[in-house]
Amino acid sequence: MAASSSLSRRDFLKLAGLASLSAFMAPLSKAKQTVGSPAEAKNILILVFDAWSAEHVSLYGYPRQTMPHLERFAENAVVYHRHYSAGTFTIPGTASLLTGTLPWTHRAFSLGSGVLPELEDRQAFALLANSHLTLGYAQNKYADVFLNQFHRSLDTHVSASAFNYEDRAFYRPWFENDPQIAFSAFDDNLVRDRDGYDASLFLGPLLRSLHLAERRADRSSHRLAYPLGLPETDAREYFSLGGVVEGAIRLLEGLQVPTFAYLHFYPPHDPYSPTKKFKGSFLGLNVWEPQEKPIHPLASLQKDFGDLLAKRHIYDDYLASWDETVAKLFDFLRDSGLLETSYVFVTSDHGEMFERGELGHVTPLIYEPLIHIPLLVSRPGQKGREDIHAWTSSTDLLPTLAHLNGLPRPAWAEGQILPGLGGAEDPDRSLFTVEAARNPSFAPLSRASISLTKKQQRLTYYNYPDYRQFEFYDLAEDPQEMNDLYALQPAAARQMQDEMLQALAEADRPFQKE
Amino acid sequence: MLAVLGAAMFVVFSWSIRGFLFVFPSRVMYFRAWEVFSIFMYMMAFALAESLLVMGGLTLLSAVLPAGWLRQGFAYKGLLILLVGTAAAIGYQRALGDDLPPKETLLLWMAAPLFLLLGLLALPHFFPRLGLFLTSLAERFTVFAYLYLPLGFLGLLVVLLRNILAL
Repeated sequence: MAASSSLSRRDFLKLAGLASLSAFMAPLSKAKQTVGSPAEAKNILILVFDAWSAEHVSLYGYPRQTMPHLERFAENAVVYHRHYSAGTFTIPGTASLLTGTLPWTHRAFSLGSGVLPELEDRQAFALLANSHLTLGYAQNKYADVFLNQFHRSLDTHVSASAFNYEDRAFYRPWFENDPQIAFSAFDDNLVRDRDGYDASLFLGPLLRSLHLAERRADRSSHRLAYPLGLPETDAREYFSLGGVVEGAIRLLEGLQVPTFAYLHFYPPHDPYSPTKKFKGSFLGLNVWEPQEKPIHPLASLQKDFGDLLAKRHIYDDYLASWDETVAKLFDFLRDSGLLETSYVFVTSDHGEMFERGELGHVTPLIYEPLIHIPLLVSRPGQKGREDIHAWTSSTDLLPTLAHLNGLPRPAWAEGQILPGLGGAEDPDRSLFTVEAARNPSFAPLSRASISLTKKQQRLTYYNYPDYRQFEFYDLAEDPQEMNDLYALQPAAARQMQDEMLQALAEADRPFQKE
Repeated sequence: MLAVLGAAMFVVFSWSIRGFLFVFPSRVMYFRAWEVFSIFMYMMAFALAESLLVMGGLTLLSAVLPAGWLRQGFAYKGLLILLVGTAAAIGYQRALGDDLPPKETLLLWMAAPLFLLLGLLALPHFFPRLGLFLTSLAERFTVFAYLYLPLGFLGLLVVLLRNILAL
């Protein structure tokens, strides 16, 4: 077949992508000449896999071999076995990770919201801005909201669409000084990315139709590789797993000075799109299946067990697909020598659940699969694996970053320094998780779910006008959280309840009306 | 001309305001008043641009087509095009889901409004009083130009201030 001399649309997009990459790599090269490379400053890379539950990872004891390549990475890393997210979906989870504060402090509760404006400078990028170049990439547009909000602390903000097949974002590059408001006006309203009415009468449907036509072409050209459809983001942009990992590798190839890079990948967030190789990997006779759990009255979807089993299979297939792909990134980190000069954190913003009638993470429920997330940290040049069984929180990353850079733990941070990276184990540690998607950011929490995990026990408070209940579980005896002990162990439950309500009152105080 | 601009602004701005009101309850949950106002101003600035674009398109069309087709009776013909176009756009938005509708549906969405429009445009030839009525109706839309033009320019000003002065 004769080679065509003309550029295809895909080639053009790739070239455009490379051009934009070279554009954002420029500040790094410039900084290298001016900042220099202090011997003691190490790169810090945070790799976030969105909606990634530790309860589905073979490394943490899941019976299905979903992530063998991650286990290989763990051979030379610190593995945290009891790491919990402070939020239950991207907005509060990412905000807590980046600010080291709990959702009831940063108040990023709902889709599209950022942290309180007065807290904008209390985050990881600002913390490390003096010692590191800062780079942020979030493929999830709702995580990208925070990079927009913190853009003054970022030397390089890589577009959420940089490694996708499409770029739907309308607000970029026109409104880079006001990205959060522009995003809310344009991409979240004027030109929608899903069904419903665009607020722009004529241009909205026109632009949406052009995009949908492009999507159709992308979809048909990748049907064989992804039998359930191409992976796509919440901005309805298609991508391939390999394309995103290759993009991240291209980014990291440019790191030559102490850089703090935050890379937030969309997989394994739904829609789950396993590759052909892994579709149906865990189906068969005599294979492990999870325990059926009763449907919770607050479950928003009320799915039956069969539906949940089927979706769980696809999620696990997708995890295996992602594991095989992201292994290339782990290999690159090793082969390029970056593992010798960098702290590499691999974690998530929240988990995912397939039980009690609920599917995914858009839920008021708080249970282990939704908040138990992986955390692995590879120290520079680490040889051998270290396992940490202390209770840790996603709010701990920021104080740990401060410590690793010789900075004091910020007084406003609510996390602690991670054991294994300079911190001490605290057996009395109280871990809070807050879900308040339906609660206004500037009002006391009256529509929220709050959990307190402490000493292998968990108290969860469902505080809604039409449903006000506590649940209490002994995680040591009942890790599946099947037996609610709230009525059976009132003294123990009451002790945690008092602690929780006191902390809640403290958090609500600034928002109480006089 | 001003009557058609007024009609264009009426449909585009009103639809944008409807879209803003639709998301308003969620926005006040996590944005402060000034930020919610700014989002509204962005939308008004965009509506101004969209209205001018629509108006520009109609003007260009009237310049290119034979005079009898659009230029003569521009006010009522422009109004009819805008009203049919609005109905078609709203219906089409409703039909658009997470995927493009089938080709047949797309063709129908293009052909049906076109034929309806041709029919409506022909009516005043047979009923001249209808043409007069529509012209008088179109002139009443002029008031919306006076109402929405300042709003659009205020939106533009706020957008510029926020992006240049980073307010």
